[in-house]
Amino acid sequence: MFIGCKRMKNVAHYANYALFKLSYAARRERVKIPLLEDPESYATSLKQSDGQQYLGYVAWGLNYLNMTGTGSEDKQELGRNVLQELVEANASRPEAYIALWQVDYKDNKD
Amino acid sequence: MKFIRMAGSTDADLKPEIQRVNLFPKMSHQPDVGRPVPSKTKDLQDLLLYLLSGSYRLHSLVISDYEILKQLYQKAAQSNTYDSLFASGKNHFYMNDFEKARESLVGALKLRPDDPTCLIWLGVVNLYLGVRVSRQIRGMTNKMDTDYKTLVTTRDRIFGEACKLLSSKIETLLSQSGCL
Repeated sequence: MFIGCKRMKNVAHYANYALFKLSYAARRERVKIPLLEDPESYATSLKQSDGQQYLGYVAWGLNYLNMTGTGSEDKQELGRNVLQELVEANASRPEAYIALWQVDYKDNKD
Repeated sequence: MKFIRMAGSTDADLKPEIQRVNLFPKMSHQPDVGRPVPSKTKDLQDLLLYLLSGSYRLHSLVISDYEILKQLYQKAAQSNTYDSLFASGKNHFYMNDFEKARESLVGALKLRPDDPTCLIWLGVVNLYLGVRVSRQIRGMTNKMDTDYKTLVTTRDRIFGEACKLLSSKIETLLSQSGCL
């Protein structure tokens, strides 16, 4: 294993997060892309990876917040709680805060 | 800021070390094929924050190095080196000009085909372009229109390219590096 492996794996985390967003966009537009998996798969992959569980939890928080249909209110509440706890527990990282801010902005802008 | 203690000095003599920042690193016109390219974590972190903001219109949220990039771009815009093309791509992305951003990043990727940072940036620019085309499609009412079909084909192609850049190409790089 070469010395830059950890750095390369960090690159893979960023690519996975971008794929997570792409998967969401494709689902919303009902576009089928060969090889592209569900957003949940990418969120799980991030959560299980070494050193980047934080990003995985952010992705799962967003997953829950974007759920619709019956019983989705509880999941949305869970997603919000996950992001709030991430903000409190990781004060130096802005990702969860930005995600939460964005959700609140969308809910309250009108 | 770091402080250097000179031999025989007291605490009062501590002097701050001035860190020189090289805004214009040495540029090369030669393609860097086969050379391991270090990833630029900061560039990727900026991109991640953009993605997290979730809005495809809100683009002045986190431009931490905009001024540096502006200087770099203005000085080197004509040189067609990797650094100038990458900086140009980022600046166009910040200004919501995704077509030009893609053009610049494709040029940068030709010079460094193994650069994971550039691959991810290009993938995300394609994602934004696809979302923009999707908006145009949603605004159209006549689904039998030729323009409608063209736009749907374009959107699918752009999303497909984004997926390829972000998945298979990155996987190939990881595999070549022995990380998989």
